[in-house]
Amino acid sequence: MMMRRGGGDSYDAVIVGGGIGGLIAAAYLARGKARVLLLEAGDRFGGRAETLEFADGFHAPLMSHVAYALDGRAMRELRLAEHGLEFAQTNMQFAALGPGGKHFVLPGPGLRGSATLAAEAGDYATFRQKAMGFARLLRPLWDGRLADPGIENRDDALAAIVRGLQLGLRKSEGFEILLRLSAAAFLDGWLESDMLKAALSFDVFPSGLSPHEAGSALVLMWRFAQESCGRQGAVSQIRGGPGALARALEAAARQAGAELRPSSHVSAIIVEGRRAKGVTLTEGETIPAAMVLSSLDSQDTFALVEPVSIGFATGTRGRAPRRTASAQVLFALKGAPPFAGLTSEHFGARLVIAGRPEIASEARGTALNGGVSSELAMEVTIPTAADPALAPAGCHVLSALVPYMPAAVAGGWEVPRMMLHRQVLATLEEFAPGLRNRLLACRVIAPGDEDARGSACDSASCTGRLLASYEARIRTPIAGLYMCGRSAEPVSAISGRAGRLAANLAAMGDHRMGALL
Amino acid sequence: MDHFDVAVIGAGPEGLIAAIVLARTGLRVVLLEKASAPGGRAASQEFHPGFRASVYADELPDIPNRLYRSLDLARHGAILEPSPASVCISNGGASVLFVDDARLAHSLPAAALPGILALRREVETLRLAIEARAALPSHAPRRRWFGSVRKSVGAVPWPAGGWAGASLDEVLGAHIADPQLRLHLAADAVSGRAVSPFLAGTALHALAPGGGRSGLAPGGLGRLAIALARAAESAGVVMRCASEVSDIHVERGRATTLSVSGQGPVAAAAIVSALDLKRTFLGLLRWDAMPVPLAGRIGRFRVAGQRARVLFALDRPPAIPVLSTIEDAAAGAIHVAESMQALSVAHDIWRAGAVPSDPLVTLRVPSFADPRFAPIGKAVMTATLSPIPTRLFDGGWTHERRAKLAARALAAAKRVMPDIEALVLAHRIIAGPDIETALGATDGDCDGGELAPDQVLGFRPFHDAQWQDGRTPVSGLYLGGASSAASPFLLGVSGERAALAVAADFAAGGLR
Repeated sequence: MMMRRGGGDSYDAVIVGGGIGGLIAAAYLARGKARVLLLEAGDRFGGRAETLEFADGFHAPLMSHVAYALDGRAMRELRLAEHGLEFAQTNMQFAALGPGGKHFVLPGPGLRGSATLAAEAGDYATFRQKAMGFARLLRPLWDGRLADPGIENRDDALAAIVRGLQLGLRKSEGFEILLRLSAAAFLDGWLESDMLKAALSFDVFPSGLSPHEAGSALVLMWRFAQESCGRQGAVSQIRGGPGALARALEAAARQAGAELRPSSHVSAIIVEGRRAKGVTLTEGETIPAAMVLSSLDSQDTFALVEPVSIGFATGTRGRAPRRTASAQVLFALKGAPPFAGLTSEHFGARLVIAGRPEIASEARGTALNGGVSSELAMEVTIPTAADPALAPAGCHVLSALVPYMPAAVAGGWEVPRMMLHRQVLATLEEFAPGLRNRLLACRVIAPGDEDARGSACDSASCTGRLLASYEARIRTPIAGLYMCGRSAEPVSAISGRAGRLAANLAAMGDHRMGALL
Repeated sequence: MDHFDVAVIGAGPEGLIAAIVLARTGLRVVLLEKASAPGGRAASQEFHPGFRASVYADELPDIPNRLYRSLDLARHGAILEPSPASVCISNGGASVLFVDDARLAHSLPAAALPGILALRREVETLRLAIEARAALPSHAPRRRWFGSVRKSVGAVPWPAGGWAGASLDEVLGAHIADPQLRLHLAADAVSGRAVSPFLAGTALHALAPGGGRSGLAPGGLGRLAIALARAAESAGVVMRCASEVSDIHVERGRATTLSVSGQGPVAAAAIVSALDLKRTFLGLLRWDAMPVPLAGRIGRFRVAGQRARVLFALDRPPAIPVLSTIEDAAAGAIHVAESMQALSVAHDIWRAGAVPSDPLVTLRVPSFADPRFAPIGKAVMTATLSPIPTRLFDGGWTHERRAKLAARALAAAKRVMPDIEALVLAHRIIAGPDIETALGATDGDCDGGELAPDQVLGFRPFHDAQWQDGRTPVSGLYLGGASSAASPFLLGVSGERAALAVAADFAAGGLR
């Protein structure tokens, strides 16, 4: 990168928000010898990546209890391992829990478990092979390599065809169908068992779509592609929880020379002549900068800009309310959870309780109406199985992630929170009889909570977002203002890829225009 | 054995139109119908002495004007009149939406009008685009020595734009703020089908028929069926009713002969099936006549029964107090819905194979539009309940369950017509299995398959080049029914396109 340190109070880049994307962008820009200032409103860096001490001595990853979309290149290039990033386990097993201890345990490409049928094993192997084949073809869409075809924000036939050509798909029909297919219909083509289909289709939840909705097959492909365009064996658990990732990134950014300032609340982004010129803090301080990167989501970012300067279309697009979110229920246990039919070697797996594929759609339908469904699909992990330091000796932490919750409920979260706790516990008790007796503490993180901020999902125009290039999501109508947080990712997940690409794009853009200095 | 150029299976509107188009090109066409009279989905029947009604639907999709004129339907007596308005009664109140923009402007609060007009214009534009695409000529496949079929224009997926991924609620919410009007428009869009308005991909339902747009024939849809049958006769189609096709025989990869139960076999150079995809391939073809993956693929085409109907014979036309000042609105659809949420909950219950307690009930009193449905002074009312599953999770459609459906329809009717219970002389209940038996529609699905973005428009039934324009992987067999392209949105187009494909293949010498 071709930047030089400017003199005086001016920065080359100001980054608003100290989320993972912001930290990575700061580290990259600072490595390129730019003068970088990162402003975080809170007193802690990492944004959504946080490890929470929810009971005395019990720590748990907040919301993102597994990492599946991490940008391997950023981890490598920023030498995060040297800054203390360690994985408690990679290539996590996947188990679909069924009633009566009849589980499917899927360790990567194979299949075994107490209910394994020869036919299912064969079907699953073929399915996985095909799905990975598709995912490999589509991978350039999501690893930042694909150029901007100039058809952004369109999810129509034309966009699909252009994308198909760009990816060099010879059988573009398959691709076009994939765009409109639901995950349930896609899985129906390969598998018989409802339980397995339901568990596999659970992975579409980060997009906010239910597995019966159009476009959710593409989300499933995105998940599969993460295994090959992120870290190999992408579903992993960070030692010390996501908070450790934030600490490592913070250290890397500081070492690269970025200035990180906590407790600095940005009140406005200064725009002059459709170009970002710096930011203003709540205390009134003005910080001029050649460019501004934001790791907030687009809604919050555009709220900092004067509406006139972004144009009506962008302004209104950002304003659609998010209607579904995820909740998390954390349990502190004395001793191991008594899951029937699972041995302790499976405790490190992702345990998905999904029942029938319809449960997810029903939950989403109910959530959109502001209610909590009576049957819930959930993903359970036991972080302490691979990372015992998270809890006192002999104790365990159990984290249940419940997607498809309403983002807001009428009358507050007090009652739904209690119901949610009771419901999750009852569901878990079915699979782990006696769990209740080992409970030491419990914490419900409902979508309305301060801790759950940012768990909301955006399902609007999901296909369009998945088809757009990173460049289109990173750039804004304002020159010199870039998105580097989750708004620039195809699906909301802790990834950091947008941070790396935004930093590159910002540096290159300014070099091209010669606007810097 | 009788020999014909083309045999068309099924004398519903699509089959009749396919037969007319083929006969007009000079081919010898036989039309085979299972029932004793032509009509299929459009059939009207006397369900109680003196009382007639359209049995399976009150409304079908639009016939494109082009087709209506070329078939000369007006001369044969099918005059379609759009119903003037639709009405929606819900927990939140009542609303009337006129089809005519001027009357709409007069009856609605000024704030709501621009949104509805904008939505109507958007829907109209998309429908025109679909219609234009459906009118593109069909190409004969150019057979190369290695047997590949040239991709027709149809290989490009049809226009659906951002609508393919949006939910109905999103699309309506973008234009309309008032929840009652939003529910009304949603009810117009989903009546008769199983849809949760919140799920992505459901916006397409706003393009499907509903709300009286496509028009009711005075005399019922039966009149349309009769007009089509007359047109077929005058075009020289050989019509054989009470002839149920039991098998399509395939010899060396080519469909050649039909077995007709109780009659001799019929040989034809080309066979057009106006039945749905599953019925045609899994019901009439021997499974070993096609490759296993093809059978599997067809098996995964999603088809499901979504509605039940109750026909009521009434002693006199019912009084509708909410519509006392706008009498002509009563001739259109009257939706009784609880709320958007209830639609979504009903859909979940339907998916689980149970009968929802609050289905969407759409009432129509055809007697208001045309008194000839019933003896003088009496009236006919139809109720369409949706979503109602064809296969119940806990057994069959027993007498008690059917009676419950009628009670639900009556309870809904009571909300708008307080005196209705005293007026009912007789009723007839048509549940999914009845539709399946009478029409041969798989699972009692009159639409020939779920209206999901991966199963409509250019994707119907499948997107591959070998399925375009009604052609199928079995040579000599064409699909022209509700499962093939454009059929959920336009009536007659899939029959017409299959017929044109047959004609083009005859001209190219591929079928002689």
